[in-house]
Amino acid sequence: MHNGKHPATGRVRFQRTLSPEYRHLGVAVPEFARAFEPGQFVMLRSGRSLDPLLGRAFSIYRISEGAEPVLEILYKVMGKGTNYLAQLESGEPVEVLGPLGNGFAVPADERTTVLVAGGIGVPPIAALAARLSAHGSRSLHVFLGGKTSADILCAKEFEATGAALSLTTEDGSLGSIGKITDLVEPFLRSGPSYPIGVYVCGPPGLLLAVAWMTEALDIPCQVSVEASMACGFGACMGCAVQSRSTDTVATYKLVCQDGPVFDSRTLIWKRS
Amino acid sequence: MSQSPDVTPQNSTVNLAVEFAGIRLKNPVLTASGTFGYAQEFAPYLDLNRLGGLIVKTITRQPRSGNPAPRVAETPAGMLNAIGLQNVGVDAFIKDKLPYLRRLAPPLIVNVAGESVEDFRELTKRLSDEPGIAGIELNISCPNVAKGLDFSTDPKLTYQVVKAAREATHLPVIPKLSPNVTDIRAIAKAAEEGGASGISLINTLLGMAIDIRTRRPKIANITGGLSGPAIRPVAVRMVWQAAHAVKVPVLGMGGIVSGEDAAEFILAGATAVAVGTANFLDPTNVIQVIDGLERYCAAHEIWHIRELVGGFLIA
Repeated sequence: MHNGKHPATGRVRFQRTLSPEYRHLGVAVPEFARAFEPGQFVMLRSGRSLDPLLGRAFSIYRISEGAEPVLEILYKVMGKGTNYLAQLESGEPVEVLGPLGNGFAVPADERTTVLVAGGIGVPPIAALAARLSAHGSRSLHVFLGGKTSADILCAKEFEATGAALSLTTEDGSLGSIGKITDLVEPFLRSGPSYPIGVYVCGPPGLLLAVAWMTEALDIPCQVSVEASMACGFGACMGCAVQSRSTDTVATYKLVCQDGPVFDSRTLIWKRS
Repeated sequence: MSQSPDVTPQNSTVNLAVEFAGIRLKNPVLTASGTFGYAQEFAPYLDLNRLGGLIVKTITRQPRSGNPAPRVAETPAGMLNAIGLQNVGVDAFIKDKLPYLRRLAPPLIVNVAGESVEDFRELTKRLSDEPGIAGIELNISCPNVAKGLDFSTDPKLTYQVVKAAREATHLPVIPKLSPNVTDIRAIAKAAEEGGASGISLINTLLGMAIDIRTRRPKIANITGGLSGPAIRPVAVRMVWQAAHAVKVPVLGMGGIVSGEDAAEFILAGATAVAVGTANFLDPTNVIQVIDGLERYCAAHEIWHIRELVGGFLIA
C-alpha cells in the first residue's frame, strides 16, 4: 500500500531574508522526491508544538540536487504559521509532506506561453519558467506584479530564462506603475502567436481578473489556487472551491486534490 | 506527533484487544468520522490494517455539496470547521466506497446523519443489508448544518433517533453525542434507554473566530465545530461523566494526538478511543497513537488494556 509519500522530518538547511517580509527557506529532507511538477505543493509543520497546530501549504519553488534533496520554498511572513517558520534556524526540524496536488500542464506545441504572478504567487511560476526554459523553442512572456519593489521576487531568474519580462508595482517603485493586469490584457490583445496559454498564481483579485480576461478572449488559462486547508491530501475537505459542475457532489472541488492548478474555466469566478 | 519516539514496540506482551459495543477490536484506537475520509485517502501513508477500527465520514440519504469556503480555520491548538457534511450519499457510498472498505481487516463503523428520525431509520436499515459493516454510528451532533441536525442536545430527540435506528438493524448502534449541552449525563442516559450499544463522544464544540483585520468570520458558516488538543480537557471530563452515567461502553475522542492522550481517555472511562483532527496534521498519526499507547502500558506494567479502563483514581 505504501508508495513512499510518507511524511518526513526535514532539517532547515538555510533561511534567507529576501526583504523584510519575504524569506527563502531550504529544508534538507532525506528521501524526498527529486522530481516534482511546477505547481505542486508541500505541507510544512512544526514537529515541536501544537500551536500552530496545522501544517501550511507552500508551492514548491525548487528541489535542489545534492547528497540529499533540499526542498526550497519562498514565503511571506504573514501569520502564526509563517512567523513560526521564520524563526527556524539551520538544523532545526520541520515536518514535510509532499509533493502534493497537481501541477501546470503546458502543451508541447504551445507557441506563446504567458506566465503571470502577483506577490507571493511567484514560486510555482518561477518553477514553471525554469522548466520551460530548459525546453526551448517557444516565446515566453513573464508578467510580474507587486504593491512595491519589495514584492517583486525572482526578476533576475526570469530574465535568465530568456523570457520577455514585464514588471509593475502599484507605487511605481519598480517597473510600470499600476497593476500587472494593465499589461497582460493589452499583450493578449496584441496578436501573439497561437497556440497560446496563460499560467497564473497570485492574490484572489489577480486570479479573478486574469480568469475573466482570458475567458473573454477565449485563451486557455491555468490558475494555481490558494485555500485554507487542514491536511493537504483530501481528508479534511476544507479547501473547497466552487466548480461549474451541476452535479451536487462535484459542486465543490478540493484545492489539495483536484488542484491546486485548475483550468480556469472549470471554476466559478466572482468578486468576494 | 511525528517526532515522538519512533521505536515500535517489539515482542511486546501488552494485550490491546477490547470489545466495544459488541465489536471486537484488536486495539482500542479508531479513526474519528470526518477526519479519515473513506480510508483510501490514507492508504498511501500507512498500513490501514493496523487500526483498531475505522469510522468513516458521515453519509446521508442524498448527496450533499457541503458549505461554501472558507470551511476551516486554525485556532489556538485547535481548528474550526464547517464542512457541511459534504458526501456522495448512501447509494454512491455503497457502490463506490464500501467495496474498498470491506476488504480491510479492521471493523468498519459507518457514520450516518439525517434531518429526521425517519432518515436515521432508513439509513441504518439500508446499510444493515450490506455485508462488511460492523456498526452504525449515528451523527446526531453535527453543529454545522441547518434543519436541526443537532438532535443530541435534546434527550427526547436523542432517545427517539437511537430507538428508531436500534429497531432498524441487528448491528451495534452508536450515537455520537454533542458536547454543546448542559448535562451530558442526561443525554447519555437517553441514548442508553433508546437502545444504544455504546456511545461515542465528543463531537466538536460550537465555536467562532473573527478575522479582526477584515471583520469577517474566519469560516463562511460563521460558526463551526472546534476540535483538536484545545478541546481535550472538555472531552475527558464529558467521557468521565458519561461513562459513570451509563452501563454501555464509551468511545472517547477529542484532541487525541499521542498514546498518552489515548490513555487519559481510557483512564477516564473510555473503552476505546478515536483519533480525529490529528489525522490532518500527519496521516500516520493514528499509528503513533497505537504504538504510544502500547508503550505507555508496557512502561506501567499494564498487560491488558482492559485494566486501564476507568482506572483513574480520586484522592
